[in-house]
Amino acid sequence: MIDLDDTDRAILRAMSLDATVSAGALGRRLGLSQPAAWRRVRRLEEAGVLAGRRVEVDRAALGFGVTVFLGVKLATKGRVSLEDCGR
Amino acid sequence: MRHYLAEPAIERALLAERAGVTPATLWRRLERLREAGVIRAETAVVDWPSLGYAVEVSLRFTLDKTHPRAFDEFIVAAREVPEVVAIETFLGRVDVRLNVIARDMAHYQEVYRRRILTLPHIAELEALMLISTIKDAEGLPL
Repeated sequence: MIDLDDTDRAILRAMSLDATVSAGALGRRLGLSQPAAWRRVRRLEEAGVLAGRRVEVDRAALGFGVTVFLGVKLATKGRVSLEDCGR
Repeated sequence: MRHYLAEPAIERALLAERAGVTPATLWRRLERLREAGVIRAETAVVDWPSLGYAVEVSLRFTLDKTHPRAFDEFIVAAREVPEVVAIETFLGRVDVRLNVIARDMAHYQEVYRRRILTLPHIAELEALMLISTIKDAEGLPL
């Protein structure tokens, strides 16, 4: 498992709030050079710690006013049913 | 929005191509959506298992609603727990859902006893341990 130091943790905190921050801006904020910041981000991505991006949207503004959680108990337990369910 | 939500990390030039617009138009449109608050943020996803958090539990709470500030006080207290990575409120059989991560079962037990059971105004509580995430698509049917 990858080792993180405080700077790595600060990078993860910053990017989980705003992933569009540039390596330069990140570096300035954390007292790193732009290449150093970029290398750390790459390392976290390659280790799978940074696993992609998510866009947070105002769903209601896009026409999706309601989100519902459906809890389903399957009649037959087992992989076949679960795959059908996923589809 | 369809293409952007499906793949937020792709290069803007490629996104523009997929959406059939020029990069300049894409930038203007995205800016407008951001200013309107439709796009709130683009955030990095952190993979907790890769950092040693192998356990994830979905906890559903029914609160004691005879207390007027039950929701507010519960949520304020839940925010203080670092292992709580998501908090959602509902209308229905369940009032609040928390997503809790832990390194292993021993760690989860400790968090559960010390930090979860001590949350205020709990009437009922049900735990579901996450086994696998089959789909977690961020796109919307736009």
